Amino acid sequence: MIKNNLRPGSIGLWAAVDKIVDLLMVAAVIAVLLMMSHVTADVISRLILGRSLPGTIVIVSEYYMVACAFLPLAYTERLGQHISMDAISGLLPRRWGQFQVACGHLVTLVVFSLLTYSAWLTALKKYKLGAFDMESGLRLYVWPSYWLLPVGCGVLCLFVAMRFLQFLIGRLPENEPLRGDSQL
Amino acid sequence: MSNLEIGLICIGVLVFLVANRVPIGFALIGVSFVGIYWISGPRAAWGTISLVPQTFAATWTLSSIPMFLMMGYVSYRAGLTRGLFKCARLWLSALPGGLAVASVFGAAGFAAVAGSSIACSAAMGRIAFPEMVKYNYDPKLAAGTLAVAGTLGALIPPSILMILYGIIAQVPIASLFVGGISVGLITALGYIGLIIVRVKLKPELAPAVNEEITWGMRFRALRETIPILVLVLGVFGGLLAGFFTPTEAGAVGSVLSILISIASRSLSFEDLWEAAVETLTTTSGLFIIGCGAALLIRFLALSGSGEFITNLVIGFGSDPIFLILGIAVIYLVLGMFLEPIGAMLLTLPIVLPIVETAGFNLIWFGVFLTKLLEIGMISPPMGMNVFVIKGVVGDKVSLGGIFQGILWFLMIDLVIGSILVAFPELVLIPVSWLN
Repeated sequence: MIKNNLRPGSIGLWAAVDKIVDLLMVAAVIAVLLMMSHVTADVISRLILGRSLPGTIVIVSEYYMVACAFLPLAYTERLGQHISMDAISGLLPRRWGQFQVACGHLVTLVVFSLLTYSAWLTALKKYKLGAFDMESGLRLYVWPSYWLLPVGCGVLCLFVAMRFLQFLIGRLPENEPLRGDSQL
Repeated sequence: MSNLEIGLICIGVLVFLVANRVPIGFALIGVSFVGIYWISGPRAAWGTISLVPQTFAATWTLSSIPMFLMMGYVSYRAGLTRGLFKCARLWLSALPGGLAVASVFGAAGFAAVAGSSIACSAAMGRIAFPEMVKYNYDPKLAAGTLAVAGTLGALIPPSILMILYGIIAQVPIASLFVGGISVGLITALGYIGLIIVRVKLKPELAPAVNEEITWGMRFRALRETIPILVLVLGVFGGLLAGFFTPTEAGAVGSVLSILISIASRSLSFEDLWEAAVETLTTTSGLFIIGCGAALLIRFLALSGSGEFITNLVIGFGSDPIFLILGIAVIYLVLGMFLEPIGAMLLTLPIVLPIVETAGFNLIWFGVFLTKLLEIGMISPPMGMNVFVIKGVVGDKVSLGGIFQGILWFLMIDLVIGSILVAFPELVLIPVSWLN
């Protein structure tokens, strides 16, 4: 799966960005597998030992969930699976279609630059504070989880910037998937 | 410029961006940020945008979404549905259109492990379509049946749509699930009735299957449904017995589905990887819209435009029935162009206060809304289920042909929708049993 995603024509820096996108997905896959094992282990521990594993809720929501939601952002964008409305695009003149591609890239770039920047500042603040959560008397550090959001959004920015450049110089990969190809 | 004017301008820009294929989540975030900045200045805007995405995703109850998705995708990749269809087919072969009826049954069974209709259509389509073609079923009827049967995936719990609705509308997800079972069963019966009547009137649509089926074969086939039965019983049994909460059920279900698939030797490492990747791309696509919707809710409250629209709509229609019909028409039209979760998250911040002010029960509305959005999944021109089935059937049926096959079912769906409006008890009474 991963190896197919290196597009012909993507060389050097671009290939590196593609690689980072893949790596984030691998990290997210690990998070989703850990999440399901951790929650199940917690249920089993409650049934057999009569008590929960300490910190499950904090670790699941602060770490696994944030990783699952934001690390695959760029990978999802590469597959064209961010949900959008696609119905009338086939009926529009080609020029309008090109406007839409440019518009989509620009909005994405601006929105995710904003998100990356604000999430970065928040992560720095939480890091300096050494932010933690308390659960059943246990002190769990949560500041590292705040870095997942800027990383996920930042890589999406990088990826879309690369795509936008390819579009501007007319070298967008021909097999770019259509948007709206959602799996839901 | 007044706050209200700013609000309405921003909603206009949002509609423009979405209509021009900007991903819904991205448009929601951008527009809400600009709107909040415009009204309350940079501090509020930066404060909101740095707070909302992280807090939205880091929610314990939402963890059931990736987990239920994982359970569905693993079951799909491992082909756990195969036995279900085979068994239904042997038991129901005597009925007119038996194979089509069996695929509705199979889809209803698979819906109990899958949270969305696309997974359900894909799983059933892959198995049942070749079978129906082999026995000379009308390909349009076959493809149409499979596309509509998939919609049971979102109605019968677990349902991703209902989990998200429950969290936004702050109603218990378990109640929505119980209402979903009721509507899902009514829908399945409606489809089955329609197939039987149509085949009775026009037998060449589905020639009778002339093969010797013994009771021995039927009972042996029951054995093949054991993996999926174990999964369904494990998840729902454990839930009812109070071993785990609905939030934990998804995680237990995905571990169980992996163990069952490994035990029946039907899951390779590649399958597991694919299932996880599908889970994650769906999750991230969905969560970014969720963050956008959470930001939009704040912006609408700030600008007062949400309240303005609510008052405007409530002021128009004195009769709540007209209001709900209006909302139904809007969602049916939206469903033609938008993917259901996108359509729901995009509109709920505005629609929910209207429905609440008009005095509708929010649990009933959640179930009704799911039904409406699922009708969108099979309506032209953008019925996602139809595209999934098209991918399965290849050149055997055209896209138009599948939509033709769906037409009759669409009418049944509209009838069921009207019945839900006329008799909300169909949802509310089963929900009251839960309490």
